[in-house]
Order: sequence, then C-alpha cells, then structure tokens
Amino acid sequence: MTPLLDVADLAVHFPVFRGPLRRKAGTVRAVDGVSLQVFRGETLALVGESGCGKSTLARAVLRLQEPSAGQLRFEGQDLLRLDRRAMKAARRRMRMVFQDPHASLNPRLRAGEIVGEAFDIHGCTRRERDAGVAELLTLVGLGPEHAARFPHEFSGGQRQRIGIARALALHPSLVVCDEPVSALDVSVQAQIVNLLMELQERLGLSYLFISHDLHLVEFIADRVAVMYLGRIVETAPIQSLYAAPLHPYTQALLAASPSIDPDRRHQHVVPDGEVPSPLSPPSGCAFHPRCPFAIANCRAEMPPLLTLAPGHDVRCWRAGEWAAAPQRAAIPVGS
Amino acid sequence: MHEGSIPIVNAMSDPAAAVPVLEVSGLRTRFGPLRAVDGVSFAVAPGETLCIVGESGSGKSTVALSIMGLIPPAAGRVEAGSIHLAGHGELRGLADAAMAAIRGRAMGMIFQEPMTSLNPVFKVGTQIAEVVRRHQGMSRAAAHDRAVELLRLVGVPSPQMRALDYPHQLSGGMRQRVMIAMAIACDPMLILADEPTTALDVTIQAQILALIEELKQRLGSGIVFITHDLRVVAQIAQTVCVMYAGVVVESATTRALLRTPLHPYTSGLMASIPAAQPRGTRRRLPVIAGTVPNLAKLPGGCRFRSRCPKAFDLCAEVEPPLAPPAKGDPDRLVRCWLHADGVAA
Repeated sequence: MTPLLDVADLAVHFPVFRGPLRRKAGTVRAVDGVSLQVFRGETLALVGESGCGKSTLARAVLRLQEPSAGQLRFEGQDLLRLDRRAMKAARRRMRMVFQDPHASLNPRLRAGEIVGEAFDIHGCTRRERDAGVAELLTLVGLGPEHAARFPHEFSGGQRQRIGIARALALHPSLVVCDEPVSALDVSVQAQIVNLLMELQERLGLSYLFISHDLHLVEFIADRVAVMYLGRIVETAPIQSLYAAPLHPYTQALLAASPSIDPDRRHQHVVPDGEVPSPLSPPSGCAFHPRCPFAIANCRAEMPPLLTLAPGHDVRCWRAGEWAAAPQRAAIPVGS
Repeated sequence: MHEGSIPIVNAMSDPAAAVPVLEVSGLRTRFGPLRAVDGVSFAVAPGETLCIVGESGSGKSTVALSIMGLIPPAAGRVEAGSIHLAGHGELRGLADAAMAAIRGRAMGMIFQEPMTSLNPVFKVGTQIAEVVRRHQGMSRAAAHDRAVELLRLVGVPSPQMRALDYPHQLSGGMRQRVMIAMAIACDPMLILADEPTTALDVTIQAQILALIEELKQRLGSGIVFITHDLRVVAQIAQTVCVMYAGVVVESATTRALLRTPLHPYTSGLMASIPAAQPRGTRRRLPVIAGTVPNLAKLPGGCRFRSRCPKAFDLCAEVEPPLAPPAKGDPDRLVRCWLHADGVAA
C-alpha cells in the first residue's frame, strides 16, 4: 500500500544570526532527517515537548515552511518539485487546523467568508461557494445561519468548528491538526475530538495529529511518532507504544503524564533536566544527558532508527535490550 | 511582627485536625453586573493541598485574586464573605499597605505564566532578593545569598550563575522555579498557585509538581492550587473543590471525588478525559453537551441544568444548596438535587 503522505529525510534548518554585524552564529536544526508515512484513513500522532520541531515539521509538510532537504510525496506527487501554481492545487487536498481558534480566524471576516475563502482562491463560482459553506457549517455541527456572524460571536469550541470547516472545504484527503484542542476547555475538547473522529469516518480523512497530550493521542491515533530535538526517536502502533515503550524518552513522557487515578501518583519518577538548546545539541544521541541508561556509545554516536518489531522503530543503542526484556522497560523509581 | 506566635504544625499530622491556615466563607466577587464568584467557602489546613478545579469562567482564578486582594478596584470588588488567614485575621477590607505586607510574606503566590509575572529588566536573583529585603529587612548582600540559597532549594542548577540571569535567559521550567523561589522566600504559611504548570511540558510539569509537594512537606504550608486539569488534581491534592459558573458544585477528598463523583458535572468532566478504549471505529468520548454558560445570562435554578443529562423540574426552579449527600459520606458536599434529602427518587 502506498502511503498518502511519504516524508523522507526531511530537514528544516534555520540560520541564526547574532551580534551587531548579524554574523551567522549557527544553525538550528529544527527538523533533522525525519521520515514518516501517513496512510489513507489513519491518524498518525506526532508527540513531543515544545521545541522538538513537531510544528515546524507540520508546516514543512504543507510547504508553508520550505524544507532545507529531503523528499515529500503526497498522493504520488513529488511536492518539492511543484511550482507555485501546482503547489496551490495540491494544497486543496492537504489542509491544516490550527491550535488557537482565537488567533487563526480573521476577526474582520464573517464565518461564511472564512470558510468560503478556499472556494474563491481556487476559482469556484459564487453558487458553489455558498452551497459549500452551508454544507460545511452543517457538517461541523453549526448551521447555515452562522455564516453571517463574526468570530467574536462564537465560543472557543464553535470557533474551532469553523476552523475545521475551513480545512474541509474542497475535500482534502489529509488534514494536519496542530494541537487542535489544547486551547479549549476540557468539556469542549471532547466535543471537538468526537467531531474530528466522526469526520474522519465519514470522509475517509487522514490526520497528521500533533499533540503533547499522550492520553488524547492514545484515544485518537492509530500510530504515534515521538520526536525529540528535531528527530523521530520512536514510531509504533498505539498498542505497542503504550504497552511497551522502548525509547527511554517515550518511557519518561509516559511516566510524566499524570494519571486520573489518585492511587497512581508518579512517585517522583521524573526525568531529570530539560530539553537542550537546539542550537548546540548534545553529541551522539540527543537524549543522552537526560537518559538514565546512557552508555559511552550514546555520547559518541547517534543511534540509527532500528526496526525492532513490525511497524515499531526505535532510535536507541540499547533498544534491543529493552525489547528482549520488556518487563523491565521502565524508568527506575527515584532516578 | 514575627510569625513565632503561630503554632507550627507538623506537615505530616492529620490536616483535618489542625487549625486551618486559610478559611474562606461566603465569598462573593463581582465585576460590574457579573457575579464571578457567588458564595464560595472552603478551608485549608497546614500541610494540605486543596485544588480548586474548573473550566474558564468558573471563577477559580477570581477566588485566588480575591484572597490576595488583587481585584482591581476599577473592575470589580469583593462584595461579601470573609477571608481569614491564621495569625492575620480577616483580610477582606484590609488597607492596601497592610495587604501588601502580607502578600509575599505570609502568602506566597505562583502564577501561570512566569514570563509575564517576572520583571524582564531585572536579574532573577535581584527579584528574589527584593522579596526578602522588603519583608525581612535583610541587607543587600544577605538577601542575595538568600536568593542563591532559594534557587538551590527549588532545584535550579548552578544557582550562583543563574541568579545573575535575566528571565528571558531561562527556560519556562526554570522561570517557574524562580517564581516558586520568590513565593517561598519568606516561608509563607499559605501558597496560592494559579495554574502553575499549565504552560509547561509534561516532563517539566511532573518536575514542578514534585517540587511543590516537596516544599509543602518541608515548610508545612497550606496550598491552594488552581487548575483545570483533573489529572493534576489526582497527582497533588488532598481535597478538591469543583467550581462551575461561580459556585462550588462539589467538594470532597481527592480519592472520594475521583472514585465516586456525585455531581453530574464532575462525572461528566471525568468521563470526557481521553483514555485508552477498545480500538475500532465509532469510539467516542462521552461529552458534556453545550458550553460553559455566560455569567451575564445564567439560567434560574441549578446553573448546570441546561447541560445536565439528569435535570428534572426542580432543577429549573430552585438552586440546590451545597450540602452533604443524603446517602454516603457526610464529610463531602454536593450541590445537586439528585443527592438532596428526600428529593431524588
């Protein structure tokens, strides 16, 4: 099965300029050699902490941010070879839902104009547009009567529904969701999550779902890719990742995710330290300064992404040991 | 002016038996026509962490601002109720100068966004030192040493060097540690933390929650911890107040509340938290219908009834009182007719 989206060795590097003469002081490798696939109808979650490059990767996939290197194939097309017009046409099929529904909707446009803008840009007629807007607003649980209202007249959850309707105009096959519910109230989050899942089933959508909430990811996604400092450190189907995480960083993330069960408080199972600066990443494995299992090799050489089980890839020199003895694959208490 | 007169209570002793550090009763705070907080009461014992949990507009942050005396006079005011801080008596109606002497000294504060709460043009060491100089009259040099010691206490690596950094040079987690260092600088008996981990990544959140817990054990302070996240509540609180549209709808010990939520809002909130579910299509999260009500257009009767799956006639007519449930634990409180004596079927 060919993937809908095939990202290979994608890199996004930002030059950093410092000092009075704006000399180039270094390069931030925000995304550094990432490969991933999204198949039709599935949800691939991209998880990681702030600064790991997950949002940059999402923007690079839509070429909102020009990649520095790598390949990007979407529906069989090589996106990086497309000119502006061809890329614009390709973007009808790949759309984005943003995190903050307050900031991502133009306050001066009515909901109908926001949702209908895509029809205008892609040269649809007025009638196509009006029919499309009414259909989309109904699809996301609003009504055609909402088209005449401005964003400030809606609640946060309703605004996110407008953002989703905008993304669904022109029948995309891939929707990149960048933290779509993290700015919403808890009771509203569930409504939007359900809407996204319902739309996926009805329209056969694929999602690249960016989130830092591992509980939400476990619920919504089919597969997960864990990013750390610009690289993927582990990719796995949901069940294997949560049952037997192999990368120490994934284990740390899961251990740090609070549980709703008051009897399962994390006994100070806290990973030490913080994400290092991407301007001067550590040598070898980027996680080694925080990793309780680091050995000499981890400091010297970056481990490759190894396939340890079908669909389960890990970037860790010692992953083979963890996979062989899964019952001990947990961070020791009081590390 | 020394805190020696206040009984030092061992943090490990039973919180329920101790004299509360903070006792809030009947608190009402209004912004113009909006009753943001409409009759809230709770008490915090030394060594106890009380979580106030609610969504936006529930009034949880207004409760914190009211306790600190930081409701801007131009915007609103504390209308009624009492805020009693052990050793300092009634705080409501206290003059600004007297309140300023209590804030930062008897009462430490930690806010959500450390970048906006720290002054960007002063070194963090200077900002921590200012707290002890102001409240404890230390010399500049002694205050600086104390600032470095506090930074070490909150787990900032190489504190001598970090004390000379400006806030923008620190990561979000380190900035929050600086905020905590300022909050505990004068060994406060009460710490108010308003969403202190919401802006942080999960691994850093876990570190900060562990730090707050450790400091509480060490100082024996009472903590009022405001959050929207029931999973954080599960990690840190001994007791919980669930707020909705300006009132407490349920309060109980953490275990009781999370094991057997009584109010339909609490159980709805808990159910809507994503968790592992059997795979396959048609899986959905249980939702609470509708949105948080507009405080200006509150429905009569129970504030939650328009979203409540179990609402019946009485709910529209009379607002239920916050009372112990008819059946079960007399120590917990719930504002729901379903659990009121002789009402529910």
